[in-house]
Amino acid sequence: MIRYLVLLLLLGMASASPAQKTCEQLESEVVTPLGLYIAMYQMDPVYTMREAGLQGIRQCPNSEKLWYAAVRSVELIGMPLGYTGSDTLQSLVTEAVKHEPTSARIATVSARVTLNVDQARHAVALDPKYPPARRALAVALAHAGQVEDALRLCQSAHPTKEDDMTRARILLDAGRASEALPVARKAAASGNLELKEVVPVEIIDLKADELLGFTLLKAGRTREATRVFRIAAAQGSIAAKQQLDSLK
Amino acid sequence: MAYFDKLPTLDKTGWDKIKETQSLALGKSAYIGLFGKGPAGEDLVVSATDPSICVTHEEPVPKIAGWRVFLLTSLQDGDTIVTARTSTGIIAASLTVHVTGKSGLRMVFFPGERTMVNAKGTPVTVGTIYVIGAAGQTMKAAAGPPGMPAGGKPVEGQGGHTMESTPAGRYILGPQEHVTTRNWTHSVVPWGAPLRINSAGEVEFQGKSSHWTLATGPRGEVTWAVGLFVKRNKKSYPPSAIQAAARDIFISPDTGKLRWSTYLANDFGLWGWNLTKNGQRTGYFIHTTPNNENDSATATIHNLENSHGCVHLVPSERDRLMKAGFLKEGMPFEVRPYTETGPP
Repeated sequence: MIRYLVLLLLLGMASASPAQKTCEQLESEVVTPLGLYIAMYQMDPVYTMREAGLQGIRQCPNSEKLWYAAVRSVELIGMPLGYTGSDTLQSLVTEAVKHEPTSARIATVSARVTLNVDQARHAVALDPKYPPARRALAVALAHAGQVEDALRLCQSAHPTKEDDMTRARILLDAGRASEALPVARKAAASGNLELKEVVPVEIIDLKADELLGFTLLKAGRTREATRVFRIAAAQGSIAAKQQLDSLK
Repeated sequence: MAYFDKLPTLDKTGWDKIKETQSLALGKSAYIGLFGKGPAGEDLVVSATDPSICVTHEEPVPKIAGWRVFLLTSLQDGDTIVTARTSTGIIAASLTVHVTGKSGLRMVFFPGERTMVNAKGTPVTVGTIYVIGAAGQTMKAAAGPPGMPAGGKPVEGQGGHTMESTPAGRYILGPQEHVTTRNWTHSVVPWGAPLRINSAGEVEFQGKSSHWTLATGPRGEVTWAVGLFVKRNKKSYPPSAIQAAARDIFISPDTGKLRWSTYLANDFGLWGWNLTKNGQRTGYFIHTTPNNENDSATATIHNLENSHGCVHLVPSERDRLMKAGFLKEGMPFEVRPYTETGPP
């Protein structure tokens, strides 16, 4: 009798567990760049996308959309709090590239994570019209010391906010703060978003403010940098908060 | 050594230095100074023994060395002891707060009480809404981020919207409403509005009347709002992309069916109250967020996020204060400066 009751209880528990989502359902939870752009709360869809991606890559390993969801969301917001698995952004990206070798957007995330010039060139080759790949190549080249080549890649008649941010970052990292400053200012004030990748406006805005703060600091404008860092810290920038603490 | 006293700049009304007692008429507040630190030179922790009678908030550090200043806000009739304790709990100083009299109901919100990391790992500044003239009821809330420039910081590329600290001031709650606005694409349709797909495959919603209004498709209200949002940012998208973005809000791409039979994605949640000022509506509302509305299991203080300038509530706390009759049209609602922090 007791065994029968335990069995009933277990059956009840099994039926109470939520049904596993299908691959199509998981894919439907991945937001598009435009879908995210028009939303008031832009972080929530990225968390949803991460959940769908991290679950989906094991369940539906042939879905490029879910591999991209996993690597892009983890690139943006990191692994979930309390995550105990062995995956890291690096390992996820390596796996994603193996599964989806023809995906320019996955190759681009990979190039940004590894800063590997060959991988970045491969991303550009996969889709020469995909601007994030071109910028990833510029950053990788700058990292390898080819700053002028990198800057040439960031040139555009109508630069987007992302283009300006990349150019300012390269100049700053090359120790050319005075050249970086006007570009960083322009990037921080620019609303000309590219919208080719999934990115919450608040994250890109915060990154632009952080970049401006660090550029001002390098250019010796500590007071103005502090003001910019204060605003960035109020919006949740940990880098800005740490910088403010060190400036005290 | 530590003690409470009035700094020369503070109003001494109601202060009895001998008895170390601050008398307060219900609904009023008073400032008190604290001199001294703990034995190891640490800051003392100041709080009321019964925070339903009176609540303490720390003001910015005054210019007189060694002093700190606290605001005592009375919430209901009664006496309570305010203590300044060491980290090990030893009382280094104390005073009695004696609250008497009657007051009409009103709410006071301290938006900058503390910064915490929410369940998603994001730093959030949260505060508390206190009901004055009742039984010390409170409700956690998150306003706009602190430290934003006056008038707000433009969120570049987001349709002219700004990120702003909720301005301190005295407001009156407007009527309880399902907030709608064409300025936010997800908020065109009221929360809970019935949805259907018409014979042309487009989504319709039933708003305030029984009339069905087109949401998606070339002439849909939500399509129009998406187009406006994109246009404001000088972006160019083909009409098909605009229409697809509007459809995606309502229709799940995997099934082609409605995500919900009634609309559950309005940015302002189920209910909102406008913070009116001088009889005029402002851009600020008290409201919940859709993710908290839709997931009661995780809708706690730990999932609050700072807003664009509104005051975000937890749905269960909103329901509690609505049921108690506090969240309602005509309720005075004061927003205090973010610089008033604590209590612990």
